[in-house]
Amino acid sequence: MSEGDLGSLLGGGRHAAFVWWSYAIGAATLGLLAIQSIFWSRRLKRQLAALEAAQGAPEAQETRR
Amino acid sequence: MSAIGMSPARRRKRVRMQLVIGGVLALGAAVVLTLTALEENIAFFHGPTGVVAGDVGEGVTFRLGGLVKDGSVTQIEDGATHQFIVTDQAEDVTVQFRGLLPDLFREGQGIVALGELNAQKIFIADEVLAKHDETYMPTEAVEAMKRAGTWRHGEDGPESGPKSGSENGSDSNAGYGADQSTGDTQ
Amino acid sequence: MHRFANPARFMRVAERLLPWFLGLGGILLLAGLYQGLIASPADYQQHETVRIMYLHVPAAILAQGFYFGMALGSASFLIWKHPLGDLMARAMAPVGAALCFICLVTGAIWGKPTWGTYWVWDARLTSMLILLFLYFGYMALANAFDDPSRGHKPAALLAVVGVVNIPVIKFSVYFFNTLHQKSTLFAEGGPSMDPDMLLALMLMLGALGFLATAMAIIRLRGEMTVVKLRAARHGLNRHDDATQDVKHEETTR
Repeated sequence: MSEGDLGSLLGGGRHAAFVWWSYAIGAATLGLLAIQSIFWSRRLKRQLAALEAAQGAPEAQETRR
Repeated sequence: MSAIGMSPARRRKRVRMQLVIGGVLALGAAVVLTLTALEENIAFFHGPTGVVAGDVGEGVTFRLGGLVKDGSVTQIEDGATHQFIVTDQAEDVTVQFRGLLPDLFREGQGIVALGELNAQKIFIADEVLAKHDETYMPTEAVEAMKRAGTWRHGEDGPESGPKSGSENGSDSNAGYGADQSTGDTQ
Repeated sequence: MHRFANPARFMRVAERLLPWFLGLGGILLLAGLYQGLIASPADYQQHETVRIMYLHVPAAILAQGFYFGMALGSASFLIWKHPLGDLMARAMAPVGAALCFICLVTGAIWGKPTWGTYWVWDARLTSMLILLFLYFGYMALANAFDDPSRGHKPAALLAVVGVVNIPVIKFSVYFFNTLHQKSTLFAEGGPSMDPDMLLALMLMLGALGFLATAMAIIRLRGEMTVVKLRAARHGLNRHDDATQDVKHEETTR
């Protein structure tokens, strides 16, 4: 760690761009999957809630959420 | 372990378990046998010993893997063609390559070259790839070792590696030596 | 063991663990990124690109681990008809596929400056690509049919059969001549790696492990809702008078 406080990568070390690309693609992949997973799961829950409300089954009301 | 006292449902479960486990084992055995049979074809490169012994015929394109011999890298007369010797510490093959060498290319480095042998048994390479080893060291540590004289990259010898992690000595020839490629697979 | 095979009970435990996994994963991620990108030194040969390893290796380990988990879940589904095993496998597949994709892409980006090429067809790279295709195949098969009794069993069978690829990936670098180097982490005589680099690798492995598991729990929640939704629609079809309110739902096929 003799490269100074910032570290050699932020200091523009050799091949730094390859590192940034790797982490950017990793973050984008996991980020997109996380967003998709959360919205998909929420949409299903809403559909279930709507269906149960339509059925009007009182015992179904308590299991939702 | 008689199945007589078992309910039909439990017996069915046991049969299914045996089917799944047996199926995976049988398939695993088939894969192992296939891969063993195809080992030569799946091998990404041939070593110098095999090439000198005539494993690959003339005019056949193949990959040659080994270490760049110390002191063997030269440029031949046209100024753009590199010539060097690839060795596995047992046999040598001379390689000529016209083009840009990878960053990691240096004497003692493991490389894999794609090309073919000519009539003079010189390997004419179209592509040279550097093979990385599994040793990771900070630049500073290597420089410190170079100053202390304990750094001997790519040479063969019991204490030549930067760490004793690779048992065949040199840090970058793991898997290259003629007698080592089997030694470190077990 | 069978106590946890109850999907609802398992989900309650998983939901309680979820915030902890997210928190731990987040903390480890920050520490790992700091250690990997800033505090750890550059490599003597690869220079900065050694830092790609801190993402590449955890992604590779977890992609294989998730596949193994998927195969175990699918096997328990095939043998004991545990619906939980099937649901877990379905929840893990996209997460494992994403990790496998990250492993392949970061490996290619690392390969260009190090080897001189993005891709070669050696045994390690090819078997890892096959793992990605196994993930895709499983997901395609598992979602090909609305009727769970049709697609689920073939998909589970594919997951179980594909598990033979895992040892092939692991041992490809020892068994065949490959361009890919041998394992550093599991080298005999301990990892041949600088301690600062090893720490970065371990922090990132922990971070991605917790975050990927958290993501699988969120997906498991979704898969459980799919089952409930299917059951609710089934009940709805029996009470025809109630269907008028939810005409937009494609309950009739």
